[in-house]
Formats: sequence, C-alpha cells, structure tokens
Amino acid sequence: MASAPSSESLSHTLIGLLADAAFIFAEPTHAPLPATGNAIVARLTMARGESWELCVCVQDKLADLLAANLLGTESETGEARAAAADAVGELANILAGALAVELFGKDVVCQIGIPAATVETARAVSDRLAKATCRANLLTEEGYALAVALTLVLTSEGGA
Amino acid sequence: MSYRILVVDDSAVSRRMVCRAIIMSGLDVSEILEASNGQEALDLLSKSWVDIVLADINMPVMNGAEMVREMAKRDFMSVTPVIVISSEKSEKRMDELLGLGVHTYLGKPFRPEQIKQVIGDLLRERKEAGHG
Repeated sequence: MASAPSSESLSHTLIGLLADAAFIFAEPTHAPLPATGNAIVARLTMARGESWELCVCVQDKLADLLAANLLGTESETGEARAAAADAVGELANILAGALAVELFGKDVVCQIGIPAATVETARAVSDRLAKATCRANLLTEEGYALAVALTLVLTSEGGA
Repeated sequence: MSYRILVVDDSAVSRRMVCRAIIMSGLDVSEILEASNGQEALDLLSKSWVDIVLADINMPVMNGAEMVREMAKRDFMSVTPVIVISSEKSEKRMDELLGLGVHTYLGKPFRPEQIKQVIGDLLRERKEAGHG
C-alpha cells in the first residue's frame, strides 16, 4: 500500500502549484477553515490498485480569486464567479498529477478521475476533513483559507 | 500563413487558459476552436481542417488517448499533430502517448511561453519536413 504523504508534503505541493498556476501565495496554518460561510469542494479519485480520494476545499471568495487569476480577469466579475467551481476543479486536477507521483511513483500509470466540484457549508467541509487520512490547511496572504485532504477509500486488497 | 488550432479539454477554465496563452504567444492564428472531450473534437475535425490539436488526457465521454487512436484511423486526421497538455506526470503515461503518435507532452501548470515554444517547434519541424 502507498503511504500517505505528510501534512508538510501536502502543504508544500499545494503552495508551489498555487504560486505557479495562479499567483496566489499561501502558508501552512494549524487554524481550521472558517466556521461560517461556504466553501467550494472539488473531489477526484486517484487509483492504482488502491484508491485515494483527493479533496480540495477553498473558501468561496478565494475560489473567485483563483478563477480570476487563472482567466486573467478581476475577481469581482460575474465571469470569475461563474468559473469558480471549475477553477477549483482544475486546481484539484493539477494537484492530483503531482500527488499521484508522490503516492505511486513516476514509472507507473495511475488513473486520475474527473474532478467534481460542489458548494458545501463550513460544517459539511469540517466533517469531511475530519475523516481524511492526511490533510493540510493553508492561509493565503489575502487571509483566505483552503484545505487539501487525501483519504484512502479502497485498499489494493479490495477492503475499504 | 495563419493557423487553425483546436483546444480540447473538459474544463472551460483550462480551455480559456490555453486560448489566452495562444493569443499571448503572438502566433498567427486565424481561429481557435474548442471541444470539451475527444468525441466532440473528432466531430469538429471531421467537418473542418485544423492545423494543430492541443488536448487534455482525462476527459469524460472520450479521453485524449482514445481520441488520438481514433484520429490515427482516419487518413485526413492522422496527419494533424497533437500536443497533449495534462496534469499527469507519469513517465510511463508520457511514453504511451508519444508511442501513439502524440507530438509533444506539456505538463500543467504551464507558462504561456511554453505554449509558444512547443507550437513554434512543431511548426518549424513541419515546415522543414515540407508539411507547412
């Protein structure tokens, strides 16, 4: 069975991708996501024998900023807001490519699923993150929060 | 000569990023077409000429590898070069795709100048080979 990356490793990978892909700069934090408001949650599976679920939870205002930076527009526009869920899904997709190598190595092909993004309440996000095998929380320089979590959903022996 | 480019990705944000990079590159492009999966791309390619395809791998309905295999079966599409832009970093996957006839593999996240570089290299190679 692949061993889960450490929280530091998850943070490091996501921090690098956010800066490279979207010019968003973040730091690891021990603080949980805000207890109120909504987050956009993108999930996808990475499978090679065993199966892992990757979950990226982004505070809704940060999702607007992420979309705006990816599209080269302003975060207050309707265009950025309309693209926010897709942008978080794309972030999860890019992150999955990097984490798949950490989990399974460079020399194998891992099946990376299609990201599905939904809006969830802070409570639902908190419950979801509590079940994760490993996770990391980040805070951006604008003060927005996001979290990434990996959960083992199926072992290579077939059990959950 | 101006070029017609087809961008294939299930993420609208990702398609927009690629289109923006193409426009920023300053390449002489007459039209950028978009498709959200391999099947839509094949439908477009069967109706109109495209000079270069830029495609993702993981897509619903028909993924990028299946699309490349289907293009190889059709004479008029088999000559159209495909550049894969994907988040996957497995070397084995890259080798598989290059073995299928994919011209170049570009990892996500990419910088606009990388798009310019791979398209420029491709066009130069085809010109030298007498295709462009």
